[in-house]
Amino acid sequence: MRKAILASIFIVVAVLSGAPVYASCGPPTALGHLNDSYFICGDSGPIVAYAYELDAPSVGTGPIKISCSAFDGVLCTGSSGVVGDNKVTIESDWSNVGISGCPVDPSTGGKRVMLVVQCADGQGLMVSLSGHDGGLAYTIEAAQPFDGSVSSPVAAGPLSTRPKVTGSAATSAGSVNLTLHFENPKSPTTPFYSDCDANTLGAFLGTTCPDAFDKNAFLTRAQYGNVWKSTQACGNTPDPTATKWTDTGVLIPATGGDVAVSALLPTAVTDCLYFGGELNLGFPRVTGQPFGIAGTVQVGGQTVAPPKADNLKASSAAGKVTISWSSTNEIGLGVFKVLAISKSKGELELTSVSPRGNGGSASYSVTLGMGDFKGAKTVIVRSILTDGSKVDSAAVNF
Amino acid sequence: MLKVRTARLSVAVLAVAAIIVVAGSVAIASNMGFKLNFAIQPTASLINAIGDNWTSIPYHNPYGTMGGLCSQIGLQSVIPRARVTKVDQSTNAATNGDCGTAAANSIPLPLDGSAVRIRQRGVCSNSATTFCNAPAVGCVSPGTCVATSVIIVGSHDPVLPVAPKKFCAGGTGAPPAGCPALGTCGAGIACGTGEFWFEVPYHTTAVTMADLCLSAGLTSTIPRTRLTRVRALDGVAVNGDCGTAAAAAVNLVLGEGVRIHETNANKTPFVPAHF
Repeated sequence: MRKAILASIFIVVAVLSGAPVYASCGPPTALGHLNDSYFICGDSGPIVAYAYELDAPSVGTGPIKISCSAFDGVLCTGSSGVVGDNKVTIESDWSNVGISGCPVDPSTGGKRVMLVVQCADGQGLMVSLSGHDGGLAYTIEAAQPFDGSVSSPVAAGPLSTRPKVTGSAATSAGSVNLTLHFENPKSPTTPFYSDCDANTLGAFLGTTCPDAFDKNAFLTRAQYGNVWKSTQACGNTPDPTATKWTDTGVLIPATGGDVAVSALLPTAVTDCLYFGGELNLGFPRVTGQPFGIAGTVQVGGQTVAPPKADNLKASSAAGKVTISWSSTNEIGLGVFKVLAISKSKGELELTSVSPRGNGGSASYSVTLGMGDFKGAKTVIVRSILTDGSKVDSAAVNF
Repeated sequence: MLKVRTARLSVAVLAVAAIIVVAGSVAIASNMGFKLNFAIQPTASLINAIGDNWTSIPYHNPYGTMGGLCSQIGLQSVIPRARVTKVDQSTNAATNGDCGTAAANSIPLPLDGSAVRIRQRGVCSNSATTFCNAPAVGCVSPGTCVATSVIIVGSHDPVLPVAPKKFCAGGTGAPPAGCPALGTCGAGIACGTGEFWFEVPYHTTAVTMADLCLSAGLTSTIPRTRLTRVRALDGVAVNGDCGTAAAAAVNLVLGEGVRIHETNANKTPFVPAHF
């Protein structure tokens, strides 16, 4: 008997790194926002950010945290503001513990790296930096617009390389079977910024593009490889270390499409199963290691958890009501509906919100006029599933 | 032997005094205030250690934050900005602040006696307003890229103890005895510790690395404590292991920070010896 089992799906962007060498750069080598700029990127939930050397993905930031959602004065000292303001910074250093390898050659200097970010709302962006300017090192603003004095933030957008669960997952004798859909990687919608772009700080300085990196040509080399799997703790960013992943042998069509995958479910209740799509960016494969992975899907434990709006909050100010919530699983979700509830008028549908989690997690925020509520002070978010069933969130007052 | 040491001490005192006077018109007042004219060697075009100016700041100083240091000693605060870096020896994590940014104003300078790294482009010898990278990148021939000069002020805290931690590389392997356990710095990762860039007092009694080893009680038997200075001019790291003749042959440089890798255990706090 088929049974939907995806307790949660958490899609992240990651690149499997190679052997866990964990020999980072010796001298500090900055990686991050260093000119008071940031990414415009949903930050009401977990953010996944990851950097790796373009021609050697085993050199990368691995599972360590390099992004900041809020200023803390210690690890996050830049312009990340506060949680929920959609300002995200990268603040790290290639010399930090946990980073695998160093993208700097002692004799030839920095090598080009790729930074991939997936925001809490499921959107994302990619940035490529040459590391060629010894003064900048891997300053993110080198790839952001610059007007001669100020670096402007860049925004995340749809992350086309994320896999999408297209149907209900099913379990049988302790294994899970599901279908993943992969978009064509050659026609991505993901925002992609490079320090070879015009009107950037890199272009202003004229020091970051000696390799004439062509991001469009780079993407034309992209094609999928196999689906990989890994069992790791639920609810966390999966460790991208290559040795933690195994090849399912299931080949993804080079330009995208649907694939059926199956695997044994974890036996520990705290573990989840992750699937990831291998993306071949045109570099030689390191024996026994995958190419980069452009997204993973986290499959939950043995219990059923239908898509539901969690962490619902509502607050009013200046005649407006702001409602926010998050999801951990959007399998089979058709739409969210925001409803006002009052004893006298019953339910009042206020607005509909399309899911953005690609089957996985996402966070949402909508602002409505106080008058829309017709005096009601209670709100819920209803999940309308593709089979017509409904799942309501807990009600909150404002 | 004692006679030799006494002689060396006298020479050291004179040398320090001479350097201070020559370098920056320093007035050593009763409260031991310092004013040091310090050369910031320029970075190279590529990422390497050239231009890694590991700099000692007096323990009492008026700067407060990286941004304060930038603005008050005149580091380059518009693009191409100077960069100040500190390393927390509790995690070996580096924190960077670019001069002229709001972020730099929010990053405090170390208070544990550790030095900071300053990286900044130089200026051309034939055009003081033209920024350049070493050796002459960006300069019109025959100009070369030369150091910029900053004046660092402050005074010493004669009671501040300094406590280098045991040096641990960190990572995913089973950590050696005395190093942080796995998971300390994230899932399956042990923190690195003990990457300590010692802020050498300007009036230190130590002339050589060996002197510093002795005065600080660093480990001079195998596995020895390793001291390192980076010559910002050419990026070369010069090591001296405590208890070796090599350490006695490496002089400390006024204003420069020295890296201490204590190999045995967290070092018992010591108060740096000074005149």
